[in-house]
Amino acid sequence: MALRVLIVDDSPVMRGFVRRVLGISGLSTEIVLEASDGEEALDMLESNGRMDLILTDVNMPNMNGEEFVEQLVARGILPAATVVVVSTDSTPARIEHLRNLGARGYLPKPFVPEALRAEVEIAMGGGHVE
Amino acid sequence: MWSELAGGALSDAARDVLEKMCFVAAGEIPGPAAQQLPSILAQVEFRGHWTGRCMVEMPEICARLITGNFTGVLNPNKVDPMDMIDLMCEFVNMVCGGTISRMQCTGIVTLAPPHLIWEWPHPLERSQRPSVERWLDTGEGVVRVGFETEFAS
Repeated sequence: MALRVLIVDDSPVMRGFVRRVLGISGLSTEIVLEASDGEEALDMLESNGRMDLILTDVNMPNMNGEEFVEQLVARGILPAATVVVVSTDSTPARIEHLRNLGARGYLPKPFVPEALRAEVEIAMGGGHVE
Repeated sequence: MWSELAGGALSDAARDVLEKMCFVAAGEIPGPAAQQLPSILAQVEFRGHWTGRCMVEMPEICARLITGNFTGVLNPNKVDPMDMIDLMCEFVNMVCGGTISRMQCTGIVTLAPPHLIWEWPHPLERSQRPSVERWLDTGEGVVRVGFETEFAS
């Protein structure tokens, strides 16, 4: 199954990096969309329908990653979609908090390209790498 | 004790970012290196379980190179200046987060939006908090990183 992916990060260069890594990862993608914060991401989800994989930062303006994941739960988008948090903050307290909210994966920045694929595979239960 | 722990964490975090996402090898050098070239500086503040800030300074030529590596632009002269600013902010963000994680912070710390600064904070301004600095030679210039926090004991 080709994945519908949404990348949520306020940094354009980071979104571009993640998009390029996805392109070489072996993950089959149908569409890759980008949003600069949680609010924009929710708008995109409303207008573009189902997403299989959401890669989101934590520290963002307007609506941060935690508020975004809470909204995904409140709107019933989780648990159908898989959320992997990609963040500079990898303290155990933060990771536990986001996992409790509904995130299935956590990838600390900086990361090597292979780590993104590995985390997505684990979070989605495998079967998405060509 | 704290300065050794923080200095090691800071240096490792900066080297990690350079190697994993900017594809540049860097080695720590022992002492301060005066920047001879025009430099670009960025800072991020954090608060929560710990409060403080992290700073990065590097020559513009080095920032251009690593931005090119990060964004996939092979010719550094064709790097978009806005991307370079964004990369500097992401860079200091990652170094800060990596340093805090390596120092095994047990609570939640929230980073503010990173931003450019025009000069390195004066030592007198920083004397109220424990602080460390480290220098990493990339071969294209020396990257200077600094970290300071309260609750540092």
